Amino acid sequence: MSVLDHRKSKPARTALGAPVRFAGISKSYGGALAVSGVDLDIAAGEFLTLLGPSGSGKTTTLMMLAGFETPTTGSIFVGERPVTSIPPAQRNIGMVFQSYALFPHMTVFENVAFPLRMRKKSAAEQAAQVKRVLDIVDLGPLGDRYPRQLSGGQQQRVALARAIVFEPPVLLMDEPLSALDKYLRSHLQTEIKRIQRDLGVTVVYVTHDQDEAMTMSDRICVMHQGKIRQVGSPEDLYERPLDAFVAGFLGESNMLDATIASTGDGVAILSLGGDGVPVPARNGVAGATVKVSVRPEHIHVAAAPDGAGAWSAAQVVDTTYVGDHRRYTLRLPDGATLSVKQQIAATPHRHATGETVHLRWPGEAMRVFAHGVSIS
Amino acid sequence: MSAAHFLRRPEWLVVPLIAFLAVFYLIPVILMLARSAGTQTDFAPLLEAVSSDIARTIFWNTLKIAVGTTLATLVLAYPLAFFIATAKPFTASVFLAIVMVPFWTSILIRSYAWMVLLGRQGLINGVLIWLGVIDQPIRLLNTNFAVYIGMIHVLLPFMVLPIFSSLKAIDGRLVAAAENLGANAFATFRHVILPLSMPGIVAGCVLVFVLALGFYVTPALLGGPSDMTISMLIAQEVDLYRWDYAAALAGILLVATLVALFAVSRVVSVDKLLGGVR
Repeated sequence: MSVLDHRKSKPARTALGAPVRFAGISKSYGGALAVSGVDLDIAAGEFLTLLGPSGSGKTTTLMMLAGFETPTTGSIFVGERPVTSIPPAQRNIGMVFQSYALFPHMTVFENVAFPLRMRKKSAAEQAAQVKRVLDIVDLGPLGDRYPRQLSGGQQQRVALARAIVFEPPVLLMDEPLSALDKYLRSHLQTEIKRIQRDLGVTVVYVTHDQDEAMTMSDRICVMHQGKIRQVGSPEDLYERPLDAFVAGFLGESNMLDATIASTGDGVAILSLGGDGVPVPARNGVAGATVKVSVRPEHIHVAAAPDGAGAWSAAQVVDTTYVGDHRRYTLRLPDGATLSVKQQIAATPHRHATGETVHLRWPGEAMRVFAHGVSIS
Repeated sequence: MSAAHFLRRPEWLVVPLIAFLAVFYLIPVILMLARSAGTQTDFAPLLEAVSSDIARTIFWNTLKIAVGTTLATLVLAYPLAFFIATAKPFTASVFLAIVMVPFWTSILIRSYAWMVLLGRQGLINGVLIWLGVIDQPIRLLNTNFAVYIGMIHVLLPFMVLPIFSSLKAIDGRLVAAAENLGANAFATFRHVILPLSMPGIVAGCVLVFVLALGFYVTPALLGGPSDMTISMLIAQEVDLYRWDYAAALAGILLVATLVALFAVSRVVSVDKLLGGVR
């Protein structure tokens, strides 16, 4: 990490975190590539999420950093230290397992003290450190309990306490909240973020839950079929997806077929359902078939066109009331269906099923993909 | 009573078994214990058994063999169970089958097989002489050593299987977690694998110990005169029609076994081993 980066990032209370670097990492099982050509730089103290569907290689990538898998090619660094061939026990990397992996025959205290015991710390030091982290995760008085006697959320906190008690520079989390209910999950998301910020530890977090990734991460690394598809801030990924997969995986996107009618000066005129729509596009060939993505919340629905801009007619197929917003499924004249979200506060009117409505969305809300890759 | 009734009150389902045990086991045991009080109910057979030096020596001998067999079986079975529990499925099933096959062979036949192997003209002596290690056949059969060999052979599956199943039940992620937290292979075994397999060790030891206490055929066929066990003494007394005395010896063996089991259950609480309240 350069001096410059230090100045940019928010100073952590303790300089616990270390940068992590994956350089040309691939992993194959037999002939099948599980992870392919992963290059990734993670800054000290950063919260980076590996996001992808199952089989995307995100867990394999994490396991290689933890030392449970050996890369077929490439190197991994923690700070300046190459760790690729170092056994897990000597990597000094904290990890929260998906199933928590708490030792059932040990009390909470013994579980959390375990890494300190393995590091030959004195009993007094163990007691002090365990108390400190149990207070951090808000489990102070439960040291004598066995894991079996704890709720899922409490077990999760014990696992977290055990992973941070030896002050590792990097903390790995493998879908740590997937077994918990929705309320507990969002509560613990906030808490994990707070602890991470307070400790300044670098976190590599694996999840398939895009909401979780968006809420928690400084940066998200989207993986698909063993490859990195895009790395960026949640906002980057949501607003400016580089390919159709990212656009579809992060949040909801309507994918429409269109052809490029004409191009020029960073703008392409798309022929979309018979209308010409100008959209920002870096490059594109006239006549090419493309996919256009539009977020459901960017589509404006009205009973009648108000004259400003181009409007398309559509029919309401289904409506659902979701409290803060209303969800419509609409059918365009060419048969394509669109998903639309309307904030109730802004547009209280409810369009009935079967009704013909008119739609409009700003050209800049569209992302254009040629062969799956963004040309916007 | 309907089927639903049995589902709500499943305790009725054990009635046939309890009735069977009461008629064919509990009542005979009570009759036997009553018999050990003697014909005049003056507890003469019991007193005779307690004060007999021979009976006491044989009791100690039985206990020594049972403890020795249990420990030797444990030492041999644990590594084997560990290997099977961590082996690939095919290898594991092959080795489990090897453990189980002697299980299905009559104990009598196995003891005779050992007699053939250990005898003066047996395979082991033959090979040793052929190799030039010894000139004269050495005495292997009818020794303490032969009793241990035979009993360990018979009892090994009772130790391997419970340990195997408790090792198999250990979540591999706990081992990964231990490694991640800085434990080397030995520490992982010492602090995670061994304690979590303790229920299997306890179950195996109790089974082997209790079975070994009552061993008759193997020590009778493979052991020497000094390797007499309590069950052999009981059989001998029965042959001499000293039934009251035999009943007293059997009663003492039963009580001693129960005391040993109770002691084990007090020393090792399996619940505590598994992490508190369940």
